[in-house]
Amino acid sequence: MTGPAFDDETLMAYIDGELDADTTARIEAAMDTDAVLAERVGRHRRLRGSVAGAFAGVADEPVPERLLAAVSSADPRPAEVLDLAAARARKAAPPPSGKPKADWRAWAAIAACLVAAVLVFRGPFPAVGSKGALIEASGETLTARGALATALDRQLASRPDADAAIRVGLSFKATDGAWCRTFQARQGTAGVACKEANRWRVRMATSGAEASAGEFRQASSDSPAVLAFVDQTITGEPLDAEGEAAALERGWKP
Amino acid sequence: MKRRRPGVSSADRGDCLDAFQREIVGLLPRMRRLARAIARDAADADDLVQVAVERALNRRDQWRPGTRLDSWVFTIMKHAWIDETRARKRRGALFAPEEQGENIADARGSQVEARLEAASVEQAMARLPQDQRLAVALVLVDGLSYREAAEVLEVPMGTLTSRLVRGRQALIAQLEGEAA
Repeated sequence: MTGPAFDDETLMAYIDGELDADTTARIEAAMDTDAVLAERVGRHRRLRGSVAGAFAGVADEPVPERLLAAVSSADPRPAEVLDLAAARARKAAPPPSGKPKADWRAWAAIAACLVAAVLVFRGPFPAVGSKGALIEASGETLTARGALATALDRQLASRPDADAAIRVGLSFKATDGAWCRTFQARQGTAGVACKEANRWRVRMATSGAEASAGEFRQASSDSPAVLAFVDQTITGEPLDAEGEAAALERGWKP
Repeated sequence: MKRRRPGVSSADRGDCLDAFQREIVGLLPRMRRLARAIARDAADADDLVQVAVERALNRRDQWRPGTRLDSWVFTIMKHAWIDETRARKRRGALFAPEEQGENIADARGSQVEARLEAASVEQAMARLPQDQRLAVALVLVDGLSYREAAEVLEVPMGTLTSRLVRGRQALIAQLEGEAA
């Protein structure tokens, strides 16, 4: 080997997946014969692993309630006075006694929505990730797959099938124009999925308790969190049997 | 047959989170993780997230739909953190000394070793200059691409990569120096 052919910046970019295919191939070929290079790459790879690993657990911790409350806070404060000291003071001090009742009520009213929102992104879903999963998570996007995707495409709520593992409930148009359908899986996951460019994106889901056979036969959209979400996103009225069949016929295209 | 619209009163609806707020809720775990890498001290980190959330909601009309919300929120967080470090300097407050906040007391059994390694990474991160720490946090901790991280930091790509290179070289030197 005559001198280092790859500098640190290139090797780091290789570890970070930022290199073009050609340079990537050259590095990988060189690593086969150059032990020193292989060790340098290994060192950068280990560093990336330790740095990511040192903080990874934070993302799995439950989010403190005060941060959820900050998102739902209805009264905007002037941005300029916001600093960490002020945030800390608000955390330490009880809320000003002016309107505690109203604050509490607001909190109670949004609680269901918050739970739904957190579940959408945080899981855990029994239906996500496992073998035969109904919902595939990619980043923060949840996509219906397998039996769920099939049911959303083809099942008519007006012609229920008692043996189906998935029950589709309401079909409705969302404010952004997409067709959406509520669903409930026998294993307990219920939610709302909307057709976006050939796939059903799960916009909200709850991982409720295992539905008993009796409950399962009820309307599939009876979870309060699902209903609240529908009510928030619906435009117009839910489809009737005729409208449902027609939308299905058109492949749920907007 | 005509299906009845589900019975949720419109009064409840007004208090529900809107789509923007729900997306922010979805970002909270990533915001907390990034904040911990930047601020190190757990309480400081959550305070930083809270400030960023409040600013984001106050300025939501400045966010352009169609652009990435995570980048926008991270940029707000970066500014909040820089403002905070400046305010601390003005107040003459010192940053937590290295030994403090090294939270290894909660380590259990077989986790001790991993926890020790994490603690030395956290310590090494805290010693990096601010600019390098932000670059390393965005790419190595959050996993953003170079282009995305440069956007968040509002710097050219070349600036980002040189901060990344220097930051990582410093981390390797510190961590390997420790092990030797």
